Amino acid sequence: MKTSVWRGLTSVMAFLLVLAFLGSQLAMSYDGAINNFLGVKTVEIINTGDAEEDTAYFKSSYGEFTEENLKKLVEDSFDQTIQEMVEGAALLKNENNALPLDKASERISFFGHASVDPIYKGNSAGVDPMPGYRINFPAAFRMAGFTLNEELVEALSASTTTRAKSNYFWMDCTNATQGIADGEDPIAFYTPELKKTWENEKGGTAIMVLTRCGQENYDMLTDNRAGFVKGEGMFDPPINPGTPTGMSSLALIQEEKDILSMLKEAKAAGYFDKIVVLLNTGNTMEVGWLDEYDVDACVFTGLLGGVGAHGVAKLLAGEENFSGRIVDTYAVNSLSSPAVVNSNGNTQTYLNGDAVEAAVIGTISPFGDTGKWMNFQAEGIYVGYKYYETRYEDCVLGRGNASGANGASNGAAEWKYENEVSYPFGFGLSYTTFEEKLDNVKYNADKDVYEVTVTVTNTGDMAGKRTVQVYAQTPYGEYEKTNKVEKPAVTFVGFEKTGLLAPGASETVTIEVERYLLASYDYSNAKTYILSEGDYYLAVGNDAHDALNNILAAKGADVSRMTAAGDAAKTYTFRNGFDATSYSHTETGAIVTNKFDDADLNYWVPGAGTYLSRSDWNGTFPVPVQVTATEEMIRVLAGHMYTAPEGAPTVSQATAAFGQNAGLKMVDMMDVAYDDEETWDLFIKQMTLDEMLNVMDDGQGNQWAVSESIGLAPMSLGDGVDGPNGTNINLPYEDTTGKYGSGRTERTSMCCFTGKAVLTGTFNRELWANRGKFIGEYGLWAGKQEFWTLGANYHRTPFGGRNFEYCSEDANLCYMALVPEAIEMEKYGVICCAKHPAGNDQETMRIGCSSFFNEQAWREGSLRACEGAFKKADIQSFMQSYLRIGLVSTMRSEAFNNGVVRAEWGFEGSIITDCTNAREDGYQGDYIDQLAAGTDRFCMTNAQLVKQKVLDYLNATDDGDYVQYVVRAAKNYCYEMSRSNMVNGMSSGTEIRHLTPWWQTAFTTAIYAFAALTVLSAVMLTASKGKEKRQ
Amino acid sequence: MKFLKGKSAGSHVLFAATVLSLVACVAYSVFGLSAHVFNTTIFGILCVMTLVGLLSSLYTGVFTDYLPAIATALGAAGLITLGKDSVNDLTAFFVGMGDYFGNADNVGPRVLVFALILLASVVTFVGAFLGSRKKA
Repeated sequence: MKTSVWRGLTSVMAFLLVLAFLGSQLAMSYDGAINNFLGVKTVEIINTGDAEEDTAYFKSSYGEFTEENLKKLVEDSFDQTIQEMVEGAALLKNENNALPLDKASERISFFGHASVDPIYKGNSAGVDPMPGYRINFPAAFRMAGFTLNEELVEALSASTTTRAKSNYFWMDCTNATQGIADGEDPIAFYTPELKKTWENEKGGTAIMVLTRCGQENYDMLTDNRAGFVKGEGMFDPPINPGTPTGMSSLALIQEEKDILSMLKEAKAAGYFDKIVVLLNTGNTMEVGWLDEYDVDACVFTGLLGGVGAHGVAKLLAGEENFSGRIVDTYAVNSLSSPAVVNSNGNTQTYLNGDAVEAAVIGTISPFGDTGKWMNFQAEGIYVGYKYYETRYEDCVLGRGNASGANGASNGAAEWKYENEVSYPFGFGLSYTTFEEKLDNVKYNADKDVYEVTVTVTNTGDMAGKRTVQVYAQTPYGEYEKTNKVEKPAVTFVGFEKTGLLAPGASETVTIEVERYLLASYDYSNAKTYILSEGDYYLAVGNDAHDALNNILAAKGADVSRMTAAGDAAKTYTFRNGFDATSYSHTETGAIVTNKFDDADLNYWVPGAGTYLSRSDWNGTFPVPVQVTATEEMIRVLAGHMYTAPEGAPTVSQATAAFGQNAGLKMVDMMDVAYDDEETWDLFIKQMTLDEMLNVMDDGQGNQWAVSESIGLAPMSLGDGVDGPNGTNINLPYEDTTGKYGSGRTERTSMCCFTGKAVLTGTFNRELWANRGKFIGEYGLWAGKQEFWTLGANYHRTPFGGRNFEYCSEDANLCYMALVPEAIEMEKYGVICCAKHPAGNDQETMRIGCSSFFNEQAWREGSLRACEGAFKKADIQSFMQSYLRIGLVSTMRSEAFNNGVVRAEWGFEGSIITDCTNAREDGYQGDYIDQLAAGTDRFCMTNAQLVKQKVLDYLNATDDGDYVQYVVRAAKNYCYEMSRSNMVNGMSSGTEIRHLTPWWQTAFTTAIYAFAALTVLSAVMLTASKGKEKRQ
Repeated sequence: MKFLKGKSAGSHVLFAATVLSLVACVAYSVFGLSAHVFNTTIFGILCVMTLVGLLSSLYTGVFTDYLPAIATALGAAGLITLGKDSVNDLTAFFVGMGDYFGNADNVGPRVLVFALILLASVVTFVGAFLGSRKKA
């Protein structure tokens, strides 16, 4: 052949060779994802033992994995979703018994674009509802038998209005007249022709649906700037930056005001009998305008989940009774929260932010940590109702300059509770009425709980359930004032929910209140938890405010200064002496003492910030705080501080005993206790250092960890709080009853449940547990060993971008609510990996923002919110937060990972970072320090970056001491997996055989083939050239 | 274009491929710098690919016939490196969740640069198959 042909072939083959070679490397970086996508089996389990042995250690309660059983699972989880809504939706207003609606006679006209396009799940990871089982409001009400204004529904459905669901949430929605638009139709949408659809038939009900929901990485806006127009690209400056409005995105936008005004006029004209507002929200909304627009009823529905709208229809039809309670304070003005002053859109930078950025990251990076952002959490413990209710008590009692103007909404000269709060924490109406009688309270020393016995009687005319809420007030005396121990006027400490009570029926419930929850953390003197000296109050109430009024009544407060007269009979009072020892140690024997002094800004810059104190509300109300980072602060922010200890052994010495077969397999370890160090040591050290590094770097099921020598199979996982994603079950589902939806899906996926505030607001432990049970079931059916689920933070501000996946503004409620879910889920061998303890309570600049707080606020807030999941549910994994604890990232916080979580709370399992994004800079790339500080796994490092970093470090330093962290990480992962359904089907005689996926074989074959052809072509080219030359 | 005078059709095509790789290089630089995602490895690969392409279309010597293979190998390396660098943006594009994972807005420019590199490689194949020496 001619030279040019060989030249061409050489070029083509060289191209293909490089493509195959580098392509295989790239594919191997994502082999777990590729295998999952292709459904490729990568491991063969060979059982050589007793064939009769039952090795199904984790079993589905639905039996065999059949289509019939799956249908039961799916429909039970749909029923769970509906019941979550029935018991979690909260009736906020119901003037003149506007609800329930009469299906037979009331025609419903839906308004608001969200009625046809509601929010089903939060804007973060998680499963979308299956096609056909994504039920909006009109569909649910139609299926329930209501008569709808169908022309209006059709018009709304045909509208081109969209609500932003991706990217920056204000960026790709229509009608952004005020910066953020929640995808609402402009008033012009309601044309005269459309108006005739309700004006021609007088009467009926107008239902207006409103939405609000933050997003992962983006908080709700603290200022909804007027006229804002986004830039073309993500990082382009806005075309029009707009002007500040002083109104947040939790207030009504103009389009919504216009529609509500239209409805008010229509009602006045007799076109509607009543107006009902549904809050389809992931965050709270400001609802102080309900009377202004003549709204008759208002219901918090939260995020619907796939079929949750059916529950709303049942409630509004009166087929079910409301029993849900709101888990957050509905403030008149959300900006009045003291926690907002330095957070969310008000997050500050260091005054020398550029110098910090240069030291921390060195390059401009849109997605990485710049280190220059800071957030001084001046509110201290006064988050949510703890602020509003405590200030209210001090107003009533005339203490602490509580009535001062600082912090009063809308420029008022005086702070008044009624101007600040629309609905208090724990509020929720019912179609019936109840009476609660506090029977008695006694202390059970064996369980260290107060047993509060309450008799509930249904005094109305409809059956219903009742949540009995117990609140505590603990002493705030001279010791506390002197030592900066802040005390909320009321703290939620316990609850029980009755069964369905028929009219006139009674039920006596006993609520166990942990004495531990009455303790306060004293960070300045005792440096541990204390029980204050003085009078304690335990009170029942309809909500936090009602309970406080009961306490005030017991204190003999001036009723004229109160919003309502309380009932002293609903309060129990006792005295306690000062006690700094009861909770100075945990059950593990660990000493509880200050571990986060350096998270207080004043530690680094004395006098830099003042925490809000009830001793002087007016004088200590937060102000924006910025400081200049000192050199030492910048050094800590920059990280990369780990150094080898003196006298460390060499790596060879440290790894000399590795790779020794002890005959132990993963399945043998499933019952070996974590503290049986001898057995675990034998087990782990069967692996080589390289194998251990593979385990450590296999944070997201990349299957690098697979080990034939110890029988470690690949792990598969899913992500998302209200239904993790990735759970495709290769069996079909179709609702043949027409009860839930319609349509057949060939690969059934996880149920999309309601938002976390709905589930939490049920105050029903059985529903909490069932959520975990169903997530566990789906995990087992889909072959998942771990779910990144269980939102273990709290709503520090109303603007939190991920409030939808955390339980409440109240840390104690989070502490209680997560436990049943986690326990049930892990019964199916699906590891419950909580995310993201702790402090992941704002999304604005979450990557690398320095969060400063005092240790009382931290322990009674963020830490308390996740503490129950660790101490009571014994979860075996968690994913860390992005925000820094002071200057130090959670990922390299020895104090948090080892000091609190492992030592104090007894955590046994593995700790994984949030997405590292394979960064090599900023704090995300500080892998050496992170591993040494207790982190075990690294999320999304791809291409075994961390393994390489550790090898580079070991090669450079020969620091054998560091090997212990690799061993610990491997142990923790293996411990976690030995408790998962990975061991199903395994026995002592089981062998794991690694199967090479077909696509890897194809790549290898292609590389060899193209290499051979490249060489051949090149040789032939050379020969041809020689021949040409000779000719 | 005097320097191409007397050159073969293959040289002309290889020069066209060189121009395409230069365009890819410039396009990547503009995009990478403006979007703050500039990757020096990709830039380096494209620069070398352009230089090798230029050499293969202008230089006549012992190694002339091997240069297109080097250029296409670099093209393949550029494609994979760009692909690897694009994973997070593609995730943002397909998942629809704008986050630190990536920027969906970047997908368009990335696809353009990818197409330019691929086209430059294909044109190099064509040039390589055509004769490097002009027939007398």
